[in-house]
Amino acid sequence: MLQYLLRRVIATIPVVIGVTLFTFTVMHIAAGSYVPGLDLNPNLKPEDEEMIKRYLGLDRPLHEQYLTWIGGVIHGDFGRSMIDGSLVSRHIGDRLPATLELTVTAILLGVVISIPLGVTGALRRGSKLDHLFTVISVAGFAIPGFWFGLMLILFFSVQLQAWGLPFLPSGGVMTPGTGGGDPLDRLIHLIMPATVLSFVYLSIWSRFTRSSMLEVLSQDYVRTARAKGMTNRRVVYLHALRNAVIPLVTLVGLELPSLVAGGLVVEVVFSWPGIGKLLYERALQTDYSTVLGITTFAALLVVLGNLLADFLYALLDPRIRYA
Amino acid sequence: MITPLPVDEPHVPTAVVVGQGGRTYWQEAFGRLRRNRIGIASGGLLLFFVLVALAAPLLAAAFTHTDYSTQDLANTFAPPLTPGHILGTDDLGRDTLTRLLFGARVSMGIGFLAVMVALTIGAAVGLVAGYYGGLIDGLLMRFVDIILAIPPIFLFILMSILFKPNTISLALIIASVGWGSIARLVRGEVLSVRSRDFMVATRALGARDVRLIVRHLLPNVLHVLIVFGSLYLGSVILTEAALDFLGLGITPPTPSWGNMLTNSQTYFFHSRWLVGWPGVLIFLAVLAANLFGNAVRDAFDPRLR
Repeated sequence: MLQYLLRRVIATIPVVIGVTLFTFTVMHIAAGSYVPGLDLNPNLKPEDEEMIKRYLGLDRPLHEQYLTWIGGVIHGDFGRSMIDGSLVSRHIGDRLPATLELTVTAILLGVVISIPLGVTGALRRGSKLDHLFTVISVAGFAIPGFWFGLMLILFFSVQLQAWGLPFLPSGGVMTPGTGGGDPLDRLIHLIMPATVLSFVYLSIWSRFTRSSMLEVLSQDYVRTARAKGMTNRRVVYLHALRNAVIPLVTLVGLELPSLVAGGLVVEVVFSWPGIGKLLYERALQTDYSTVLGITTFAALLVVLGNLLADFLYALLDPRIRYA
Repeated sequence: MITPLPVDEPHVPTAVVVGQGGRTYWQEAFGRLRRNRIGIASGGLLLFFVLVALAAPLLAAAFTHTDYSTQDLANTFAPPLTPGHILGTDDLGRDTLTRLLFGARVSMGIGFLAVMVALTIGAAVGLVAGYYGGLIDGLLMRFVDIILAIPPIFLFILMSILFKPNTISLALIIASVGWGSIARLVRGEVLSVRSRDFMVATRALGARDVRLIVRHLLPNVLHVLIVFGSLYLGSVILTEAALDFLGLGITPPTPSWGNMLTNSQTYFFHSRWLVGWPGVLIFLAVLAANLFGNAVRDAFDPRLR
């Protein structure tokens, strides 16, 4: 086991180096030694410009810049913004909780709703209800999240307000000025974005649960359980469901990376102050160093997530360890 | 991302091994596809979108009598069914129907182009990596690992601020991420085909690497490409629309279904129809692509049904 873990960790190192090299290179092809805003100031003398670039370290050879930067990354310092000099890691720290609040809720909602949908679909295969769930899942997979979000805002915020009914807030994590201490207020703000985000998960996972359940129900041990006189309920929920859900764990595990990045479009639509919206805003301002920092942070999390998943599988399935 | 099929064991006979009733694998697959009613209907809808995209200028000249950028400032925010503007106008008085027609060009054009490019690169990398193995395989596949480790939406944004995309470069940007998963799939398939008898026999006859790869390996992984390509189209259309919506893809004045939605939030209170149409079209196009993709998968990969 230990040997396997060690091998996996070592195999991850080149990928980590590759990811940082890749993002760093792409960013420097994009930006060169460009500093946003400098070209807009006519009073700036060339020697001042030189000085600013020297201060930012842009006058040094590329490999030196990379080594300095990667040295920071190892210590959790993802560089500074080119616009206001603020620490990127501080921005990430500020925005990460909001993003996690949204994505974790969406994933939990997805799991909690998709399992009953899938099980019902499998138990009543071919019924009207099953067909309805199929249609919802196929539609949910095709609907553009940003448009779905806009439509929800249109109805639950704009239209309900126009009718003078209680309405949902169209954006943000909380009512401005309340400081976010009221859990109910946060929950109300969470409803629409979490619904939109969980819809995709829901449509994939409910299909998956359904087919997995169908497969399990045709297994010998289910027939045995029935044959020895167990009630249908016990067979389904005690024996079949447990085994049907195991592969789903893998599928949910694959969504770990989207904890950070998955909600970007939804965050933009609902003005949700998360990591994705931060990256988007900074990208529009051509704040290259911040975009670089956030992207690298997210990519490293993905690598870490994959590693964790590998460990979990090895723990659950001894065959992997000795492969 | 879509993970359409686990590639483990090859089941496609080379070129013309005879199936039931003397028909080839390809004849049987197309036969299965023809019998799938949902598949044919969604394929038809997809074809309709493609035709609209190709004929957009003609249709605009014949029916709406205006161009996608012609402004009618006396007639802004005209509601649907206004004479001359069947689906209404936007904030600059541009005809919504005309813009939707031209928007189809962006979605379909980028959709198909990106799929083609991603398939080509992915197939090439997968074939080479799988065939040669060893160091080449290791290097190529580590590179794929790197590409796939960066969250795709972040990578798109990175590339978008780098290239300021037009139609062609946006397709390339989207394809530059998509080829990774294809390369992995193709490589897996190649690994299982590589050591089979006919490959050994062909090599013994003195066939060169290029011939082996192009004439013998490629036909054996073609079904993977067809299935993945048709399932990938929907996700490309969706991604493209999202990038346009964020202002990082095709930008006005060129209309696309995605960028037509960008400003609609501002005009919620008086002009709701602006939010409706583009979204419905994106939804229908993606739905058609996905359903067609499912039908293709069922036809070409009967194990998975």
